[in-house]
Amino acid sequence: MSTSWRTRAALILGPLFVGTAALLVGRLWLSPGEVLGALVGHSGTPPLAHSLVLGVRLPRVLAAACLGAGLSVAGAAFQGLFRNPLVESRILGASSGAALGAAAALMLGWTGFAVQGVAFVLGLVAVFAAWSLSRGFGTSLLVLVIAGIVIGSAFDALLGVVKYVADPTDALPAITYWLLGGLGTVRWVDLWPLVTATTIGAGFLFVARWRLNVLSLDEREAQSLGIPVRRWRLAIIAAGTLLTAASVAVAGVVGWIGLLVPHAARTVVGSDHSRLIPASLSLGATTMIVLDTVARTALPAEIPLGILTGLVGIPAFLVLFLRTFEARGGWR
Amino acid sequence: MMLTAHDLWFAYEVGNSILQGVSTSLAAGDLLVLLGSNGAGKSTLLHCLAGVLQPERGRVRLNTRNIEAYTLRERAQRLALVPQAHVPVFSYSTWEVVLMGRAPHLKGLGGPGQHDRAAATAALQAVNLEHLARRPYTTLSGGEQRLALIARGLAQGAQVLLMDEPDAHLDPAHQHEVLNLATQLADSGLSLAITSHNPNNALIYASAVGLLTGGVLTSGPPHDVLTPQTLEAAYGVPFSALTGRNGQRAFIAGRSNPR
Repeated sequence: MSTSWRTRAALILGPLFVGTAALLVGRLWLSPGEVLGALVGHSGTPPLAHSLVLGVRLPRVLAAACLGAGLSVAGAAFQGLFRNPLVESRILGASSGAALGAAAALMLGWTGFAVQGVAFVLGLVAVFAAWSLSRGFGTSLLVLVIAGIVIGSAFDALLGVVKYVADPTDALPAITYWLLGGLGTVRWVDLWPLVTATTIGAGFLFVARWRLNVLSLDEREAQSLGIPVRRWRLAIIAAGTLLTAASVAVAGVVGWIGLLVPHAARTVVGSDHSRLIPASLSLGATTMIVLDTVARTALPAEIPLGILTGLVGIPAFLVLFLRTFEARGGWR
Repeated sequence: MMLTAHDLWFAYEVGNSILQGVSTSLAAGDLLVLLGSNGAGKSTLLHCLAGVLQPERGRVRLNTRNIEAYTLRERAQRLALVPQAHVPVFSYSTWEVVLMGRAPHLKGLGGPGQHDRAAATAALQAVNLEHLARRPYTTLSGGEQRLALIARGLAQGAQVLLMDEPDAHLDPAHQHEVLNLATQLADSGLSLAITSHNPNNALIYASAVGLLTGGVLTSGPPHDVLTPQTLEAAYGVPFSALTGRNGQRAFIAGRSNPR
């Protein structure tokens, strides 16, 4: 199966178009001319438009693109690697670890980079712990998933402890709000770690995308095709974990995207990972830009992204997905 | 290309060896059919020959080197394991499944190039499946899936094909299609070893037969190895030999007189 040029063009232009459109929208609507003027640095642009576009909206749109692309591509890679269409990149505990890290940092009254840093590190620690735990029982992927679930639950329980002891007047609301997820506080300085992690993680998965086809076969079969399965697994898990921990560290826990976007992408380009990975990148970025734009504009107050993905994004996706699924009569 | 096994011993549990000193060899043009009852160790032997399972004792050599001395890539370029038809979780097209055979030829991180695509297409043509290239592999019939997996082995560039029960769960016509292709590949100079549950297929298609009985392999020309006595020893039920008008032989298992 090959992808038509129309699909390709839509997948390449989609995030660019939606990202540019998102710059127009906000409490103060801007004209395309003002946005364009601000982007190219035209001297006639009103100073307010200039600072809105470059100072507030553009970093947010870029962060949303990174977040959606990273979570979706990590989800697609993990679904292939674990040979399971029901997993997403949270499965190994990265997001539970990051959530605990952020909550602990917030409880201590830390802010900004400190929170992100601790969250990111604990996200990596959780997956490393799951990996180490599973090594004690062999190299089966099933054991690794179970270890991930166990570690994730342990970190969730510890998160409960942190919430329980956190000061209910200031620390607890901060933790609760943070856990709901959102990009409301993102500025340029917050963006660079996320962009770097996304470039490295998604870049690796993009380059290695065809191998995921072979890795989605039975381990013995993949090995008999000349692929050093365990080394590749480790590399792909590392890349997916980097993406997940960085996303949660910056944006809080935004679920479902990493599960559903790859499925939506499959209905468009098929299962071959050499097309699925780029399509997931594009669809994930597009979806998250749209959701984040709704989050910051739909109501007078910011809507947490986690709530939005649960309430709006997911039903919309499900309808689209089930319709296509039915029309095609199953997995294609 | 020459594949030889010398004095292989293998046990899944201690003290219960499923292979007890098995030796065999496979030269260019051979089609060796491995027979034996369920659990006799046919697949185990096949996987030892492929280097996927490590025997406790004995060695497998591909040409002059021990099979473990090859890297995974080198081995996969020379020897292909064709599994029993399986259902992948994701629905790849037939062509994409065959293209996966090019994995051992890739360098660095990248994916398959023009040359690899051409090789996959040629492999599909060799098994006469090019008309199904774009169909999802999961929608193929059992026989077509077997052919696609053989094509994947050919795309690997392997000179030795080891097939696990390629004739299982197929109607007689499709068994013939798959095994006939196997004889053609052997005639073209490849070496093939296949496991089967059907002694009659071995009589018709094999150049040599290996019969596993209690961990011991008896091998040789089909008509020498397969007799009612050896089959009864291997499977534990009586066999009768029939001879057709043109002298072709066949065996039936169990009762020799119809009810």
